[in-house]
Amino acid sequence: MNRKKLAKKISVGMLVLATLAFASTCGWSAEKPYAGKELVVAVEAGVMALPLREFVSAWEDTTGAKVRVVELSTAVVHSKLMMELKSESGVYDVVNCKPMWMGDFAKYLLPLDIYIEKAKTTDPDWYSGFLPIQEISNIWGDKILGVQTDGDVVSLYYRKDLFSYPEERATFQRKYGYELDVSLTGHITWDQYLDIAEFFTRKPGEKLAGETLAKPFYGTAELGEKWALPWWFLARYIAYSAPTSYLFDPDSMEPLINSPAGVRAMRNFVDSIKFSPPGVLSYGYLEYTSEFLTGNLAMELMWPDLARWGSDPEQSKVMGKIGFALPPAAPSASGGVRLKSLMAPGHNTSIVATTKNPEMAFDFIKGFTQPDVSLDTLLSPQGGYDPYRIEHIQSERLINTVVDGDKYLENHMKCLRIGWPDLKITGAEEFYDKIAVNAGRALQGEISPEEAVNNIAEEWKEIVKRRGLEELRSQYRKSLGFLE
Amino acid sequence: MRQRPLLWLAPVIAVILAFGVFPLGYSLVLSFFKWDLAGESAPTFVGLQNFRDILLTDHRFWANIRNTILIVIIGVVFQLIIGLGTALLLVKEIKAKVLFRTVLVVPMMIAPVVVGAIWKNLFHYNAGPVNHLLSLLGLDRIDWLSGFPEGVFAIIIADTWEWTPFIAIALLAGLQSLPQEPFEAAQIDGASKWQIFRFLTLPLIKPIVIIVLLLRVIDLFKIFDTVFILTGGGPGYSTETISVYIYKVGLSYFRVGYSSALSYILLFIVTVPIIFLHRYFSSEAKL
Repeated sequence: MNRKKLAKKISVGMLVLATLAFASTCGWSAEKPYAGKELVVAVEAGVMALPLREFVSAWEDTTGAKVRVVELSTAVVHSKLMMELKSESGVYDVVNCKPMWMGDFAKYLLPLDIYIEKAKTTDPDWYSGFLPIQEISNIWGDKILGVQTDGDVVSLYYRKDLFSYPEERATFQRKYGYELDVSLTGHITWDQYLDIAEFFTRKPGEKLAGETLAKPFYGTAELGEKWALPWWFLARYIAYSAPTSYLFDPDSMEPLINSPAGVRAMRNFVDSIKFSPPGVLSYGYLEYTSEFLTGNLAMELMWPDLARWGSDPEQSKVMGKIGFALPPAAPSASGGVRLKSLMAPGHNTSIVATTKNPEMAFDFIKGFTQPDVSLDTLLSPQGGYDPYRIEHIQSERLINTVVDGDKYLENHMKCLRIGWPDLKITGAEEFYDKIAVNAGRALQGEISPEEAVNNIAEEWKEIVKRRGLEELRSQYRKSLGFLE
Repeated sequence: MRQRPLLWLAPVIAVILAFGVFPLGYSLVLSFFKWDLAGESAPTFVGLQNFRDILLTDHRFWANIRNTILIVIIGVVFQLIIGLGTALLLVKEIKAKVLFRTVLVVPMMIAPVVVGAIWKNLFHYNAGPVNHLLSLLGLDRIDWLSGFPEGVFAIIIADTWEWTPFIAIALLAGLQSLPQEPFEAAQIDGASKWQIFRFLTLPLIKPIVIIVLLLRVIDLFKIFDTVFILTGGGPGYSTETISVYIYKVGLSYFRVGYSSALSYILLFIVTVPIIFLHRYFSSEAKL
């Protein structure tokens, strides 16, 4: 072989080797399709981030990708995401956020319709397994902009051992003139909520279910930190203003928050503080749940995580004593009741439009929401994810994890059927902040409930005017399902 | 040859212009516009409308000013008294002086966000050690974080814990640098300890006191991290300070014109007492 031919063969061989080496770093390996690539995922810190990190490790092993999870404090998630998305910095590929922010983020999120349609052919059970909340919360402007990854719904958790204690029931009946029995109807009214809270608020030395109390016991608690106040107010408002539960008049965008329904809701909220532990206005999520789990409360409104934590002997002193009920109802003029359950915030996960790896990002989300993976996430002891797929609510594993799991899931489904999703228009965060500020002022007695809701209405009018009445009206009507 | 100094200074000037002057100028211009960054609308020139709205109709702004001024005045007084007292103790020869000085600076080294988180736990109504101590002393528990004025005092206490060491260290340095002869002469002349402190020590350390006072006043007017974590400015806006409000308006509502106007009003509010203090103490020094 002459030198020229040898040199040519060596060159070709080296070229082939170089190509193969390059190909392996570009993820052309069928086994690790995303080897050498990085995905940046932004998620709310704490109970949303912990189970996600567990999934990330497994997904990295499977795909060869490197996933960087950026945790954002609850108080600043909206600001941080808004700044990065608005500036199109490209820092994040995937964002875990809330459907109520879809109006603010829509322009910066990648429509997922094409990817979902493709997934329906390759993995038909994946998308069909989502509960209706997926369609309610993740469509904006006829495009699917997110995938539901958390099925929040607020229901009432109560101490069934106390509610069923014969002496307590007899005393309650004598004092209030009606029976203390949630199981008869599956719910109480907001007025009864206050009666029950008052009844069970006891001082040290007083008796509770036959035992002498060594420390104060409270009828209820409220989630008092600023970010949660809008939801705990709205949990009442949507019942009092049912069946429509409108926050605005869909034709004029006049706020309805200061209607008689709004006043009653705020008054109920303010009155409940009397039967809550002192310091409740600074209660964060973990303090609020621990008050119930450590046996200091007769009842509290809460998301579904409480049932799972309440069944964990390491976290709960009330294991086996938790009853599940629909949220309190409001009386209606016809003598019946009006029931609504807050389906909020209910986290979703979206792909940022600036991502350089849309396929990888979608695969990540799809992987995270597969039936088996998502069930593991739900059952994570430190997690705050709640059922959002059919497989979850039919899961024997979930039923067996929660004491009275069948009753828990039955109540969960009932709540979903009367569910009310968050306000989903541009500026929802600002609208809710006005509720937070004014509810906070009312709860500490600075202003009356009437002043609080009137202030909210006035501030909402100013926001609507500033952000554009026609645009907001169109968005609001679409969110309510009006056909235009 | 004459251009060389400018050439050497050019990078520094560029940095100051880019990160100091330009943001100041740009935000001043923004303050004359209505601009909702979250929406689709373009900025609209409104002149002094933002300033008028803030000063004449924004009740939240005035509540924030009240809270901020209370934090500044009470905070500075507490910190000066405790800081000076600590410095006077440490200037003496006491046992374990080095250990005390080392432990003293620890709070200063902690990030304000962490300080807020620490004190949030300390002030917890049921589980917090502060209320536990009050109970042991036979006093009622206080709901520290649930409104005005308790929440404001909670912020002052947390800030005092963190920054009094700074004042103590600065005043200690000042005390240690004082000449000994006047004190020896005063002792020989029979002056009491109080007379020495009142007529010698205080006047001699006045320049240091002015500097730490000015620095703390500026810092307290801008207080943000501790408030944000401790109370979030709530409930309502009962413990909100002006910096937290500016953050809310600018980076939560994204009303950048309005938040820029708020920032300039804060700048004016901070600058006026600083100029006053500086002139007062300078004229005293001349006398």
